Parts: sequence; C-alpha cells; structure tokens
Amino acid sequence: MTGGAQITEIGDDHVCLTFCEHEELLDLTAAFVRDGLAAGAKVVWLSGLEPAAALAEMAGRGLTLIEAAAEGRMVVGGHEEGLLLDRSFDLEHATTWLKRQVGGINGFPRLRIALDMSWALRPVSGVEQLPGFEERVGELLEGAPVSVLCQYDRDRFDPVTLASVAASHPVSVAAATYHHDAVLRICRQYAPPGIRIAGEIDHLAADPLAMALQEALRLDGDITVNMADLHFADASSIRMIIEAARAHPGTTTLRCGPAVLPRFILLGAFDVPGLRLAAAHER
Amino acid sequence: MSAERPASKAAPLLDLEFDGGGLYALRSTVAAHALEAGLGDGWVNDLVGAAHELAANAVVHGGGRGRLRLWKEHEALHLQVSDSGEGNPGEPARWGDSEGSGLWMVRRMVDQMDLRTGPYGTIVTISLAITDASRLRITISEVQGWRVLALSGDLDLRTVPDLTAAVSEAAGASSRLVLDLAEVAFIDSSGFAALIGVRQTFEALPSGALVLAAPSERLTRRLRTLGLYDRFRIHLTVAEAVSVRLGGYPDTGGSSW
Repeated sequence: MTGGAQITEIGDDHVCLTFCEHEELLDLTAAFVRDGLAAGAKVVWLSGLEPAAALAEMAGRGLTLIEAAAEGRMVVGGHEEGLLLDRSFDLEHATTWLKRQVGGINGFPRLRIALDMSWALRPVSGVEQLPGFEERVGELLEGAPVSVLCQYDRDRFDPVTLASVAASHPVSVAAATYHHDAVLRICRQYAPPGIRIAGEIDHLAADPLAMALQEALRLDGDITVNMADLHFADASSIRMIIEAARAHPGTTTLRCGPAVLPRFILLGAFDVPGLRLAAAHER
Repeated sequence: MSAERPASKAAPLLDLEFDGGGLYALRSTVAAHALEAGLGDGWVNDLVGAAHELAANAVVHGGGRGRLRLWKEHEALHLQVSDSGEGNPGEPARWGDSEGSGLWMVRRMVDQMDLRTGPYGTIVTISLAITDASRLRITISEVQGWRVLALSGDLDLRTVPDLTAAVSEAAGASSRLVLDLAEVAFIDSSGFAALIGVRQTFEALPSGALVLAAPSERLTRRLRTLGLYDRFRIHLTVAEAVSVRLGGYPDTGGSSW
C-alpha cells in the first residue's frame, strides 16, 4: 500500500491513514479536522491523548477548537469512549458505537471520524476482531455522507496486520514524502501548510530538499518549515531554506530546535524580510 | 611539505579516512569523541558543524575523500581535515570562502582556523578551547531603574535556558536590561542566538532597551566576526551603560530585526 490520495482531497469514504511519526499523525489529523469543520461537518476524533492535550496539539497547529467543541461540532475522546469496552475490543460494541455516530448526524450535512488505532498495539483482548470491524465500517458507510479515517503507525504495526486491515479501505492516505531513510525524512506538512524536515540533513539531500521547497513555495499564503526534530543541518541546506524564504511572497516561519537555530542566525536569517524564526519547544 | 604532515605530537583521539558515502558516521564519531574529551554540548554542536563543512569541502572539491584527525592539546580540542588535492590540483581558490559558504561558517564557529593549500592538497586545522563545565551564575540587581543581570561562566547550549528564565523574569519587572558580560568566558553559537533573542524580547517592550556591558576583548572579537557588534548597544562598564540617555538602537541598515 502506498500514498495514494492526499489528506486534503478525501471525500466520504473509509480511509486508511499510515504515518511514521507522532508529529506527522497530529499534522495529518489537524488537516482532516480543519477541512471537515470548514465544510460544515461534525468531527469526531478518538485519539490516544487526553482530550485537553489533544486540543492543545491542535491549537499548536493553528486550530482553535474550543467553540466547535462547545457547540458539539467537534468531539474529542479517547479509545475507551468508542472502540474499547473495559479495555478489550468487542466487535459488537464498536459497531454499535459507530452506528450511533452515523445516526447522530442530524443537523450536520456530513460527518468525519478520525480513529487512532494505536490501542491495538497494546495487549488488548479481542484485537483479532479488528479486521472484521474494518470490513463492517465499509458496509456501514455505504452511501452515507460520512468519512472515517483509520490511523495506523506504519513502523509499529506488523506488515501482516497492516495488509489485512488495508484491504478493507478503498482509499489510502499518507503524507507526501520527498525523502525517507534512516537518517532523514522530508515530507509535506498539512497544518500549518509547509514542509517538515526531521533527522539530519546535508548536501546529499539537496535534490529532495529543493523539490520539497519548490512545492511549498507554490502554496498560497504563509508557509512553515518545521524543523523541530532536525538535529543537524549543513550550511548548504540552510542557505537553500533561507533562499526559499526570501523568494516566498508570504511569511515563511522556520520552526527550529536548539541545534539548528544558531546556524540560521549565523547565516543571516534575521535579515531576510518575511522570514520568521521560531524556537521549537522541547518535548 | 605534504598532506601527510603530522597533526601534532599529542596522540590523536581520532584518525579516520572518509569519502562521499555519507558524512553521518563522521559527524556522530566526532561528537562522541568531543563529548568524551570534555567539550560542552553547545561546543560539540559547533565542532561537529565545522567538521562536517570541512569534510564536505574535501569530498566535493578535494578529490572525493580526505582524512580527519582530532587531538587534545593545551586545554583545547584541535581538529584537522586534509585532502590530497586530486580533485582540482593547483587551484588554491577552490575552497571558496564567500559569505555564507561552509568555510565562512566554520570561521565563525571556532576559536581558531588555519588553512594551508597548495598542489599537495589542502589542510585545515580548527581549535576550540575546553572550558570547565561550570554552570552559568546569574546575579540580579537594580541600578538606576535598570535591571542588571551579571553573568558568570559560559553561555552555551547547556546554560542558555538559565539565561532565558532570568530574562523573562526580568522582562516582567523592568523594560530596561543590562547584561553584564565581564565574567563571561565563552559564548557558543547557541549563546549568541540567545542574546539576539533577548534583544528581540526587550525591543518588543514599550520603551524597552538592552545593553551589553563589559565584554572581554575575546568576546568583542567574536561579536565583530559574527557581525553582531554593531547590532547591540555595548558599553565598557555597567555604570556607563545605565547612565546613558536612551535613544534608538544602533542603525542596523534597515534590517528587519
């Protein structure tokens, strides 16, 4: 299973989202939530986080959800509230929960549901019923104005499980990736729009970096280069990023961790109009 | 003279050959040895950055490979990168030093840099002093309506959070701040970045002002190399700093920060 659709392009469907890092999952979820609310949909998100922490993560990506949550348009919950019953997975319980969500759509033109599946990595009884549940989701959604986004960690789920659940999803989604190896990952960031660079970067990655920056420059408005998890950047990469910021008509925010921020300053980032340096908070 | 000139009488901590097959391993090896030799975190960052740029130059311009040596002598770490010059013999200008180049950045990250080039190749040696891993001590006082933070120790990646905390506390108490640098021995590139951050914090306050006082000769030289000297209000003593009338900041040539 490969990328396929983009998170910003999905319609009423049963979608399998695969991701590599937690940061990437939250980014893709933020885009799904943002686009859903903008289209007037009700959004339900069962995350692996405490609801307050989940809302804070969304706020950090430019989404203020307090109002939507107060109005019931945005519902944030944990796994226990929908899929699990007494810490075990029960096919009937989960199906009933999903039916209730679809039935409770009244007053909203559409419904979007994001399901974090990381609970299935824990020793949970009944997890063998998961592929059966994924099959039922497809049947339940038939013709309904509902999209369900099932979120699977590509590195932590074993390939057999991933393959068996993926088969039930007509659409698959992943972050557009420009480079991925053991040392470096460059991918699109969807909320806020831009790119994300994690690991260590040097001149060997000049081509994928150039391509990622070019595509980011085509986005309208302000862009972000998220380097919160970048631990090394050489002079040539930093120059390329600064030049991209100079060429971008909108504001370019460079979100940097403590290892690379000084390099950007050294190479004159403060003197570039429209460039904003932001320190990434340590996690 | 040849590129095989011995680096030093001191036994090397590290002596390795590298090629273009990825400098990730070289970076992590240099980092591990520098930490082991007692260099502070922030300085390790600078040393690794410098080592990478030098090795990348050897790979790109010096024939595709080179040799890196690291040794400790006279309370300093010395790192030498040499290439055979096979790439571009007889063209000493090939290791470009224009603004923003790798070499240009190396000059700004280390205490000392020595570059020799010729038909035999290029040898660059850089040095970083090893300082006591003492914490940064910050003494707070009020002088004529100014908040004065007297810093003592090193301002580097490890101690920047201490400064940042003291500065945000100070910003709540007064809009005018003096950083007394008389007792500051070293500042690494994270430290300089933090100073710029402090300036931005105080610039954003109504009638805010930041003055740096009493930097040592060595610090003054570093501030000049970094192009930062003209961007801060700098006075020789704290007394002088608090007695001047406030005007605008030094002209930064219309730059945005």
